[in-house]
Amino acid sequence: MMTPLMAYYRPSTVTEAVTTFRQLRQDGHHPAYWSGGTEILTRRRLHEIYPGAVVDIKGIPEVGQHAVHGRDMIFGAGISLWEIARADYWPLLTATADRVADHTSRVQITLGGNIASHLPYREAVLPWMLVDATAWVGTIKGIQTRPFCKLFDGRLVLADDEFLVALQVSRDVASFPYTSRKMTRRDWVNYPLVSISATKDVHTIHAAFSGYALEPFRDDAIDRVLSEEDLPYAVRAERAVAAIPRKAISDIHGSAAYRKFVTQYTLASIIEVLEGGQ
Amino acid sequence: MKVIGCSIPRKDARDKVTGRAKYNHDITVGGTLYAVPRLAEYAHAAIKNIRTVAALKVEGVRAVLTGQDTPFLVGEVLEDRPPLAHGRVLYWGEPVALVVADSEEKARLAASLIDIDYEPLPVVNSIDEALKPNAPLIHPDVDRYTILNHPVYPKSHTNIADHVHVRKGPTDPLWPQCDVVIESRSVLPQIDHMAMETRSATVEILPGGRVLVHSTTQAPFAVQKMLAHYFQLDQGQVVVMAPLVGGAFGGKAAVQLEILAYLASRAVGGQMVSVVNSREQDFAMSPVGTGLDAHFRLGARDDGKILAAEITYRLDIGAYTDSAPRIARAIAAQCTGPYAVDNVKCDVLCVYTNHTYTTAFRGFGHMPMTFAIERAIEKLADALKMDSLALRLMNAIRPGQSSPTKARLTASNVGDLPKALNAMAKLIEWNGGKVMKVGPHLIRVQGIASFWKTSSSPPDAVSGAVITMNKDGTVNLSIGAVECGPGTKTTAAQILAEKLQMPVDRVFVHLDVNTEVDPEHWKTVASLSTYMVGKAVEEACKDLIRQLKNLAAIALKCSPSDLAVAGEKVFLRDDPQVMVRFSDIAHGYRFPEGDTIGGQRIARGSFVIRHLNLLDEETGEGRPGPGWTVGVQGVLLEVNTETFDYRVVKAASVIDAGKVLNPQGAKSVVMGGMCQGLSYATRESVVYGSDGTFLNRQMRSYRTVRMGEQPEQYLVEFVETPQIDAPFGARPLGEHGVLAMPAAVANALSRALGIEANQPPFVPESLWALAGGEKA
Ligand SMILES: Cc1cc2nc3c(=O)[nH]c(=O)nc-3n(C[C@H](O)[C@H](O)[C@H](O)COP(=O)(O)OP(=O)(O)OC[C@H]3O[C@@H](n4cnc5c(N)ncnc54)[C@H](O)[C@@H]3O)c2cc1C
Repeated sequence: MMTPLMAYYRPSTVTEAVTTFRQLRQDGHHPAYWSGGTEILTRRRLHEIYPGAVVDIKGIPEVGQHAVHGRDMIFGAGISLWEIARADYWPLLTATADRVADHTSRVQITLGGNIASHLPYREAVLPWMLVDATAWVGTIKGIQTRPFCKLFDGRLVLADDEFLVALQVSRDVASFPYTSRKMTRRDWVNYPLVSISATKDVHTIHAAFSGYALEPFRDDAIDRVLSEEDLPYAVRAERAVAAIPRKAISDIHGSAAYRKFVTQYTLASIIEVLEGGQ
Repeated sequence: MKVIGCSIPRKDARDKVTGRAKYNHDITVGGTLYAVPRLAEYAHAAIKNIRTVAALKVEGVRAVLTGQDTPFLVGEVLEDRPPLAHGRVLYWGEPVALVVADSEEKARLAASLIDIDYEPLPVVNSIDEALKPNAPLIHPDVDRYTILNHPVYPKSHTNIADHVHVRKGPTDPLWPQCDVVIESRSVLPQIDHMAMETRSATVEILPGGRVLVHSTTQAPFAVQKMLAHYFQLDQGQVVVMAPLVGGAFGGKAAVQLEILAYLASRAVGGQMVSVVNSREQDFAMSPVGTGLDAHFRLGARDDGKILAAEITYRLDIGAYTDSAPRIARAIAAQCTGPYAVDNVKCDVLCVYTNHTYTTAFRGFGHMPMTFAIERAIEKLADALKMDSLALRLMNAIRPGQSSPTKARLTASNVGDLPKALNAMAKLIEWNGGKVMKVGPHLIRVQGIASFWKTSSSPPDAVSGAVITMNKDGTVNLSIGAVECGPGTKTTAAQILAEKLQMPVDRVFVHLDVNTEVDPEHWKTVASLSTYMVGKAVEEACKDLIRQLKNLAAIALKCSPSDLAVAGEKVFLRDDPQVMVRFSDIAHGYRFPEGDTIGGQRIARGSFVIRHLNLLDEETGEGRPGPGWTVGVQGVLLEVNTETFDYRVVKAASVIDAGKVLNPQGAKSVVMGGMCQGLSYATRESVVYGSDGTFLNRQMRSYRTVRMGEQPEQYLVEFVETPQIDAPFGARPLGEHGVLAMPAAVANALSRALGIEANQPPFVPESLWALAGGEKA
């Protein structure tokens, strides 16, 4: 069921990968970095993209790391969402990753592929939007580190020939209270109407959203409303939805109005869970 | 020895669960070419120009066909469909060109390189749009098409492909005598069959003139006849082979890919060519199930007796008719549901739209029909303030009454609905549909719905069986019904084993079908296989027993009438020790001296349904099938009144099976149907964009019930009112598990939320919207 043939490269270092990519680009092959490959394959089948070559980054050791190192946790971009959930280093990431796609796809879909996805969801990015994380980026000069918040603005902001190698975050985040809710049209496995990851540090609730708008987002104003402890949950949830600075989308999964309705009752229940202990 | 009534494991079970069973496209022959269609990207457009130059340049491409190479129309009833679009495309996904190449990859690449200029035309995107006074005409020549199989009544200068009338009772209607009159409208979307195995066909035209066809078909004999008809061949020249079919649900009764594969093979000198649907093609290009917009007016006395019904069923048949006229007649003949109504006016319209064309779907129109009926019945019960089960009981159709098309109902030809209703009341502990509170925002509520169905087969449908004996006394059975899931082959073996009083594992059934060697079975549809194949097998058994006795009589020096058959022996009734074994006479009887008489025992049986007729054009009068299966289905739902989410706690069915031949087999076929019905109720529908684009042509977006989303409990029970003329009294059962499930869910949801849930699928959003949505 394939369309045109596609050349495959599997470099073993970051510089080799970027060099290969640049060469292929120069030769007019429209290369793509290949991680889990599920999106490249499925988009190609539908004639949405025609990469003439792919550069598989999973042979690069740094892309495959997945460990707790001293005070930090490190997640290689090539680790599958299934594996992330299985190892369960960071419960919030586990909860979010574990709801992406069906099992068969989840063993293929990778953290990097999900975050770099062309689809509007990129659900596995949500936990990262709530913490101070460091991104390892593959460049022609080798690996560079950048603050994750500088790298992700609804979508991954990288030069065409750069790629995400790994994400690193302090182990402390693993002990924050958290909740993750994925709401779909109907099914356990489906794209989200809205998917919300939320954590609470001392007094503030932080929430990040996917599925609601054309890309994942978080917003200080929403967090402030959610954290107004004097107000009932339902009121906060209602005000939070009103404060969302994005336009809710309408598609075959649900209308904009219904998305708002679902987001609201889901937020109310998230606040209740996060504050439940007090 | 008892075989009937026992849970016999299916003959195909072990091979299937171990993954060893072979389906159509599991075996590929080296050197096979592939044909890939290029699909229309408009729902309605004029084809201005097709440039195939780039496609032909792709290495390995052998031929590119367009509508100009296929200047003829095909159709099962009305010939209105070009194999490849002619001049205009009428639905999104219609095949416009066909590329034949060495490999599927090359053919796909080349297909994507065909350059087509379209001029978009206004899209007819719904039944309502199609019936508007100045609607664009999808088939301006509808009255000039050839009718291959009467009846069908296309209306010129409209988008109406067919109109069926039912008129029963006084011309001066009984409405004035009605104390309560309700109106109800139900709208059901088109749905996809979603068989696990997508459709595929391979054709090879041999130099000697034989045409070999391998297909995922439920109707190998229909494929044979169609190809012979359209390509001027003798039927015997066309050999159709149908191996196990990986789910069909009616969708593989239509003939489409076989014609494309034939054209492709012919274009490359008869070489073997395969056409294999991708999932997207299977959704958008190949036919789906009809949509329905139904309007009901029901009138009743205040004691609940229904006096009059005025019904309009409008079917969204998509761009071509295929079997829609037959489905329309099936709906017409059962239009009131299993209720006795003396005054009936019903119109069934087949409406062309710029949607994917449609074909048979499990239940042959009865699932959407039942939905509309049972929503109306429920509304009537509310208006009468009556328990809806009691209302159904009071009006349940009974022997002595007549069907809407005035077919006489007897104690044999119709099942016992009152009995099934009472059994259902016990099975789900019916509480009248009262709402039960089980948590802060959680309620539980029951819903029920009844159904009936007959076969609506053509009056000349045939079926046959051939039995051959092996030397060791085992028997081979050959029938023309395809195994597409419900255990047809096993049931046939069971009937044979019971008749011959021999172990069922000593009966070997030919699991595939080959039109060259297997006797014809009309089509493996309409849940008719047990009845028709069963009757043919019974005939063949009689023939075999006669042959065995005749030969044994010589061996045992007695008269055939002295003999009985059981346990693979033929013996004297009064002294069973005087006997010959099957193995002694299977291939002739050999005297001790060595000389032998008789040859291999080969027996045959043949059957045609009697006393069926086509419905009258003006009144619908006629007998549509040999018998009616009736049943009741119910659900217990748990509904969250805050989020509108809900789940099915229990799903229940009580069906009058006549006689349960294979308890576990019957239960699983009904459960499978229930799951499918719940899937339609809770999530499935084809979604078209405002321009007619088929939007959800992948399993990512066309949602079905998945593992873990089933009800907590399936309850399946049978009542048994024998159909006297059927094998062991068994009634058809294959499709029925699906029929009333969506209606039962809708009835429960309507009560739970105080809404009219008349438009499946019911996702939380649709319930939220019905309950006031944004405004609430
Ligand atoms: C059946 C199915 C269900 C799905 N359901 C969901 C869901 O519920 N929620 C959700 O969020 N998503 C869902 N997805 C989408 C999926 O998460 C994305 O398609 C994801 O991109 C797949 O990851 P991959 O590793 O296979 O990506 P690939 O196909 O390898 O790559 C995808 C894109 O990302 C680029 N890329 C890959 N790795 C990197 C990197 N390290 N740095 C920079 N660019 C990179 C590639 O060049 C390509 O453009 C689903 C997908 C499938 C197939």
